[in-house]
Amino acid sequence: MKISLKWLQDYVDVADFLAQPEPLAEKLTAAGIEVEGIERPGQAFASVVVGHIKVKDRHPDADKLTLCQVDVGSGGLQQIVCGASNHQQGDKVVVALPGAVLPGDFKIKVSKIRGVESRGMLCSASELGLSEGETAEAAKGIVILPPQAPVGESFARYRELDDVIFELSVTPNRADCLSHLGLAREIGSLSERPVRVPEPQFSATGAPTQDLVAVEVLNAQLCPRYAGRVIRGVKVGPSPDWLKGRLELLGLNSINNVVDVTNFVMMELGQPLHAFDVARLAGPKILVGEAKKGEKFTTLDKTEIVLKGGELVIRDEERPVALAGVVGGLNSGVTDQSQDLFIESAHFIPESVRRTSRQYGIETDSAYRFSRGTDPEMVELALNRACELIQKLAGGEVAEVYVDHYPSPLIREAVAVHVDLVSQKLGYPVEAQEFAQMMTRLGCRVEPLVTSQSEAFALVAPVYRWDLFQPVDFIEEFARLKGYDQIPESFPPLEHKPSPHAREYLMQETLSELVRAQGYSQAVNYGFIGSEWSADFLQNPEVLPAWGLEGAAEPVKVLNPLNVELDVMRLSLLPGLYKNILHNFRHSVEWGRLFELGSVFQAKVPEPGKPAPAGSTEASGPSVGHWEYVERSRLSMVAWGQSETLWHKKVSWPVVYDLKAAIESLLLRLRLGGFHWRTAEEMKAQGQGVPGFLHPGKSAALILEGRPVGFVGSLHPLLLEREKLRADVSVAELDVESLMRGQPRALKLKSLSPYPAVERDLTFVVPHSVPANRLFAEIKKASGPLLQSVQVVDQFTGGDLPAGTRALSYRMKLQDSQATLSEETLQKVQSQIIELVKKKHSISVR
Amino acid sequence: MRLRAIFQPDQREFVTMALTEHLARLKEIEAQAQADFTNAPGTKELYDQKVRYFGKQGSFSELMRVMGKLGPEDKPTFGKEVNETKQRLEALYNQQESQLKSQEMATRLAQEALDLSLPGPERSQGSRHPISLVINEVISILSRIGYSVRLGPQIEGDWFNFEALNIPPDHPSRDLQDTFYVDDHHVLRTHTSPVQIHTLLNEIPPLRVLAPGSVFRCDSDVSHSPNFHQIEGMLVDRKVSMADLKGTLSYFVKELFGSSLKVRFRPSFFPFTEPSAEFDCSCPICQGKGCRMCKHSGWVEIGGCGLINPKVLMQAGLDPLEWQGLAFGFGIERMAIIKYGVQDIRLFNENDLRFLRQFE
Repeated sequence: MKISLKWLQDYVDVADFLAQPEPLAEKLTAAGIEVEGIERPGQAFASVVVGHIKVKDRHPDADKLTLCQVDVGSGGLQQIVCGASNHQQGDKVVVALPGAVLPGDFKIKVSKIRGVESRGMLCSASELGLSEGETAEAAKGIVILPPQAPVGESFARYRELDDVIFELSVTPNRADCLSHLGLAREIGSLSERPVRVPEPQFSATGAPTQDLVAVEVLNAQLCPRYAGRVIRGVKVGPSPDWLKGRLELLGLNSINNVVDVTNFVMMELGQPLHAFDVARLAGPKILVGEAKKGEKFTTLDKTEIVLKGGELVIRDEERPVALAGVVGGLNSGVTDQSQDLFIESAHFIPESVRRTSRQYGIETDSAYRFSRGTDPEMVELALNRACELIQKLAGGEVAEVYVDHYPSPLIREAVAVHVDLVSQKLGYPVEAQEFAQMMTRLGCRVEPLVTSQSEAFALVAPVYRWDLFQPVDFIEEFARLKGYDQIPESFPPLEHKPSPHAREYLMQETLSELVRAQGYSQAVNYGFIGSEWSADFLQNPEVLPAWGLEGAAEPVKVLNPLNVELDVMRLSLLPGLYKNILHNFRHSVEWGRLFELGSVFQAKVPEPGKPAPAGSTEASGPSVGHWEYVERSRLSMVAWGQSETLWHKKVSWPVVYDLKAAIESLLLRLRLGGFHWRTAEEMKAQGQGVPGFLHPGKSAALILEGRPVGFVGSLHPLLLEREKLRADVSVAELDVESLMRGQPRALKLKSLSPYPAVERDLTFVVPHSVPANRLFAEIKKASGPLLQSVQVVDQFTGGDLPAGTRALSYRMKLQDSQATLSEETLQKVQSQIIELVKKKHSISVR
Repeated sequence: MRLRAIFQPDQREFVTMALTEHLARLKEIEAQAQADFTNAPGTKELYDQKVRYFGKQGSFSELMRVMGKLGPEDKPTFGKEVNETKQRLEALYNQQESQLKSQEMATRLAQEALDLSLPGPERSQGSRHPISLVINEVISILSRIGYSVRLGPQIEGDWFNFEALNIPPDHPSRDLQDTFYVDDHHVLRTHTSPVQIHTLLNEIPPLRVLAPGSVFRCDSDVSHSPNFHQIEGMLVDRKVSMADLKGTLSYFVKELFGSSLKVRFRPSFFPFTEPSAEFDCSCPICQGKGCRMCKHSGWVEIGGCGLINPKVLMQAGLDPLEWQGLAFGFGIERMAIIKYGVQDIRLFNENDLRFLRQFE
């Protein structure tokens, strides 16, 4: 919101800040009325003055140019060459002297034009950056000032541009500061200066308003006060310069004298007004009530809307003529022909205006003020102020009596505030007397209360401070006036045991640390993603639950997304991470390791009678029956490419094994031994679908303690081709809750055997259809407690091996805790293994 | 095999030889051994020569056998000569051996030399995301004064996100936060403050909690992302003052940015706190002298804070005459910008490894 300091001067003395506004800005900011910017519009017009054309000649060498001798009040005449033609000898004009810099960084210098020296420039409105001039052509002509314009005066002062404009950021609770008078009051209480309230003077001789326009308020709940006054026989026309100037400095366009007055009063007193043309009101009647469903309405700026019904509208006998407090109708507003006006000054309740304004996306200065709360007591003053100014500028006969529907005037209740509470809440001692003084300065009615314990006051806030109704509200006001810098620093003592951190946070921290130790860097993506991108990546999310990732097939939609790329909540972290891979790859990061720990989202229709699932939110505390949402924490890891350093080049292996190894060491660090991988092939054999984004031959589900908890796999080549991504990309997603079940797991220490361990290798010819880890079960079974570890140490295909098979070498480490293993025992174990494997898989030993 | 030629295994010939001849041969052997030891190119060859002269089948073993055959008058003379010769040769051997050893070590070292300007195999740790770095640092600072972490849902009920925090429907305070909706009653939480409500409803004061997390606002420009992070602190106890709040934040800011910094409060408005304040700290970049970060004001805005509005305590079922509270919160990305000088907010979500790796 913009405030003009010169305008402010009408209500409170701020003249001392015109030259140096910064201290006032700081004072306001320190009091919570933030001054975001300070503009000095007059600065653009240094060396621009009012001049008087004493002589106008033709340029000796150019027909279209004139040569003027101009008095600029400095003694002597300035010779100026001018290209325009609308100026005459004797005119008062705007002269930019050498040294002036006009808008657009246009520097004025002494120059020679067609051989004749020119010491300045006569300015047009467009050159001055002013909006006046009805047409583009008029804007190009020289500005001709009224004859009484004082020669030599700075143009900025002449046009009252030697002003300071504050750009204020007013918090929603301080609607009372959205006007010049309001800010004057604030400055008054901050610096103990008297505030002058306008006292309108006008003659009211016309017939009473109610005889000319019948006013009826049908919904006094949404409209607690409605006042109006008729002015007959006005002459609508352009506003005088002072009015135009004031509005333009605040960024408002001048429309005509009547509309400008309503805007002026709004900026002055904070009360929005509306002027109806009585001749255009059917009846003529004004009804304040709710709209009917389907009614059509066209706003002043020609936006057509269909009303939903229930909005507060102003209507005449036939149709809505204004959206109450938001915008007037095209059908009833003031035009150049209007003669009889009905000026509306009302108090609409904020919620109603805000709802209508947001519903139709109509944001006006009026709606802004009403929806933040206007002062019902200002209605009358604003109405009369408007009548005064309209009569002054447009003539007309003001109705002797105005209408004012205010059935239940707002009464502010007294609030009891104990001074002890003020001291306690602020943390420094507060004197009762000082507190009472400050409250009085705010405009409160202050009465001492007799209490047994401490000094206290009954405070009644001024009506315009609707935000003050609890003791703490007054305490804040005291702190504000006293200065927040008065608050000392103290350290609250810790007298109770701190509670543990939330388990989910600790889980995430543990996982993050373990994954980073594997060389994976943390990524953070948005919680929402494009539905199309997500669907194209995931393809068949309905299969994911079988792979250990609970969730819905359809993502939660955002009703009002910023754009289509952020229109659904994510179902998986992988589509986002895939974007990150592409970004990295396209910026020449050809290999990398990323992980993300984050939430995925699912909507659930609640089943009646069932308790809400863990992690779900209900719409409002105890009530049920709405949609419920479940958020699950996921760990996703992605790996693409291999580090091509000196050493890694010598051995290279599919990236998916890298990722798998990282997950396995993570599991071991979590002391989770009971896991194995179930290949996509095996999943299919069990009737489960394979996620479409995974390579069906290079993916596996992680089975932890008998249950699937996620997967690892290479991306499907089709996806990579679609993005022209020439890298080996592998991904994994794991359910955090499943990984962290029972964490931290207790460490079970094994005793160490003093006897030597023996390694034995066995090589089997295994069909491709049998995963290598299938044989572990038999090996474990056959070796019993002697087996310390088993791993695949070699794999070989080709040679004389039958087609569709490979030779796999298993290395067993065997050890007995009671004795040195005898060759006999080893032989026995070995033949048992071979026998069991043969029996189970029809596999021969090599 | 010149030695074999000298000591032909014809015992009779030996025996017939005079002592002088034996001594002469001893000289010859010594000369030969000296030559052989000196000429040995390496320790292995040298050792072979040692065996040849001093081994079981070596020359000196033969000499000892010769001595056995000598008469008693010759034995001492010959024995002495043999021993002295042996000692000389052994000394020569040791000298040669150590010389050859050091030569060989020098050669080996030269051969084994590696170019240690070459890198080792990569074995890097992954890095924490700067957002997580900041969150963690804040948690570690405030944990020390008894705050513990609480988390809450990101899709939040309207009541938790707004009403319970004294932001009624159609209230102008809703203008402060542009909200994403997923249905008529659920929003993407616009702040971490609803975690306060969950905590107040589920736990018994006194309380000190911290709620970090992802929040959403539907405005987006070069300096605002629609999904960013906040952290919020709340303390509820019998008596809590603005001075407690200022003292807590002053401790916090000094721990996070440096001990010389100051905290400033400016009045502000949040529906869920009263009194409310914005808290600034003297600019950690320029120490308050004025720079681009602080727009030459010497102060940077950190976040919002205040005493918990009694209405909020009541909504959460606490009696405001019995309990009071303070709350504060701020944006994590902004802290990361101040702390690490991140220039462009897009960097936070592109997850470019060239950016992330710098936080290792």
